[in-house]
Amino acid sequence: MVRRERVVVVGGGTGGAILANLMPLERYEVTVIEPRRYHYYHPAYIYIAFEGLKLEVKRPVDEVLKPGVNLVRDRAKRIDLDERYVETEGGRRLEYDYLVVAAGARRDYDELPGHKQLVERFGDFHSEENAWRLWRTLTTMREGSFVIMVSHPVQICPPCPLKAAFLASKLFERRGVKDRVRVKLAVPYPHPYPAIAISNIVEPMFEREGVEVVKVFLLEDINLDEKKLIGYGGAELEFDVAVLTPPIKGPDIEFNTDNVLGDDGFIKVDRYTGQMPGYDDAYAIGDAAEIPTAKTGTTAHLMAEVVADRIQGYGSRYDGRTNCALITGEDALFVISSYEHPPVPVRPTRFKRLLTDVFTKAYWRIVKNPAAWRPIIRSYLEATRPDRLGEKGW
Amino acid sequence: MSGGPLDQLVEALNDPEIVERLLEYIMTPDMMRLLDNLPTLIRLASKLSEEEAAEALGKLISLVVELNRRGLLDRLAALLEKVEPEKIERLVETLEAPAEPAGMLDLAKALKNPEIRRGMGLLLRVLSVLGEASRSTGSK
Repeated sequence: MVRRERVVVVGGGTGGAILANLMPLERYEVTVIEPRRYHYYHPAYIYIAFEGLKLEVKRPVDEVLKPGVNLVRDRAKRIDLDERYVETEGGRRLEYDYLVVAAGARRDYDELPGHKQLVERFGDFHSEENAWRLWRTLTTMREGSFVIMVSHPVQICPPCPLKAAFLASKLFERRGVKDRVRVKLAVPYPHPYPAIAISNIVEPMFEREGVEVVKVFLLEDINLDEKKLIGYGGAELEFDVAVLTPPIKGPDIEFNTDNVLGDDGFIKVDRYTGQMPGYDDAYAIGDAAEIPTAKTGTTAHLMAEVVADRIQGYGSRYDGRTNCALITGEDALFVISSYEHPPVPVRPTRFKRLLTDVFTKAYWRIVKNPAAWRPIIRSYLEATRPDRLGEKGW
Repeated sequence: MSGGPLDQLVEALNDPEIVERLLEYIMTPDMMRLLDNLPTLIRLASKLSEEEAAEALGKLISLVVELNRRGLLDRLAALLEKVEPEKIERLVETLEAPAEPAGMLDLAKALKNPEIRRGMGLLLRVLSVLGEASRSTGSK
């Protein structure tokens, strides 16, 4: 029998699990290294925090992987790209023919003094536990300012804070306290969203909704006693409840060479192939990779498909496509862009919210059996390609 | 193979290659836009449940098809391109405004105005075309 080639996948999140489940096991021996017991569906947190929805947020990693994929419950500590092995915290050494780092990004709650205390007090929408805490905070808030602060331009899921602002406003309306609780969205950009096509659509909606957008607020400090966020140049923003998007860092993995590490520990890759510079057998995908596109599940998913193809010898390329859902209440829109095309104008509609909810319901099936869903997702992406939608948008 | 013809059809449609080809055929940017605006389309289409509306629309469609067959639709489109809404508006305003009765003397005076002379030239040309048309259709 011919020896199967060894594919080692670091991380069992969206990208890692989809990649592992796409590999044909008769040709490849696939091993996923994941220290956590559970695979989390991150977009669910926002539904918990603002709608109190009991969604299926997590499943054990071994249940998300198809039968035959090996799972090593350990943390990848060091990778030797020349000798081709991964060393784990538990002292294991896993040799590979192909390596895929899908270890995600780390949220850094220590960078800004006071951030941790804010999360302990109010919660946020970046973990299951924190999301439930924020739900309790918001369902008991009677008056004052609820501030959602984008603390750094580089963040996971750029539309999330906007989603949060819309859904918070709807929640306060349902609770009958909208006239006493003011929702404020503070951003470091000159518009509510980095892309102007999306800003043009959401800005009037925020106005109608009564959400105040504080622009060009570059957070420097948190004053917990006086309940103030301090911005660059002395700007101040008072809050009664505040939620910050945490600064993010690359995965905490040591490499035998510095050549593959970019800013803040993200892994340098070719933006089209996910390949690490100088190594044709090592890839990084999803949030861990340093590529000029939004850090979202769509990116992780599509890069996983590309890398799974490339390992098998096909010439697939990732075009930088995004499809981030921005829920505005009963409607939703998508931030649709690629490396070549900035986001196209996409209007919020019921149909798009329906599509978002269908995806949420189907998530676990998609991750477990990505090959079956591939034609459906591919057709959707093709029909909504930014260059095909053009200036007319969708 | 098992089951009736419908079961077999569903089985064939479940083939990944067929699914992909079907979806490629159906899913286009216009289809996505259509799905986005389905409630509006249904509202419009529901107007056709009134018999009179359906009949009128049917006639309109026949008329447009006929215009297209005679090559008039393209000419109409070209004409519309040339139309300046402000001029039409002025014409309508002028036609609606009360006019004083005018005699031969007024006409002679008015003919000193170059705009009126140009208008008169146009009028004579139209009259000539009308005359020609009336002869070819056999009118007396």
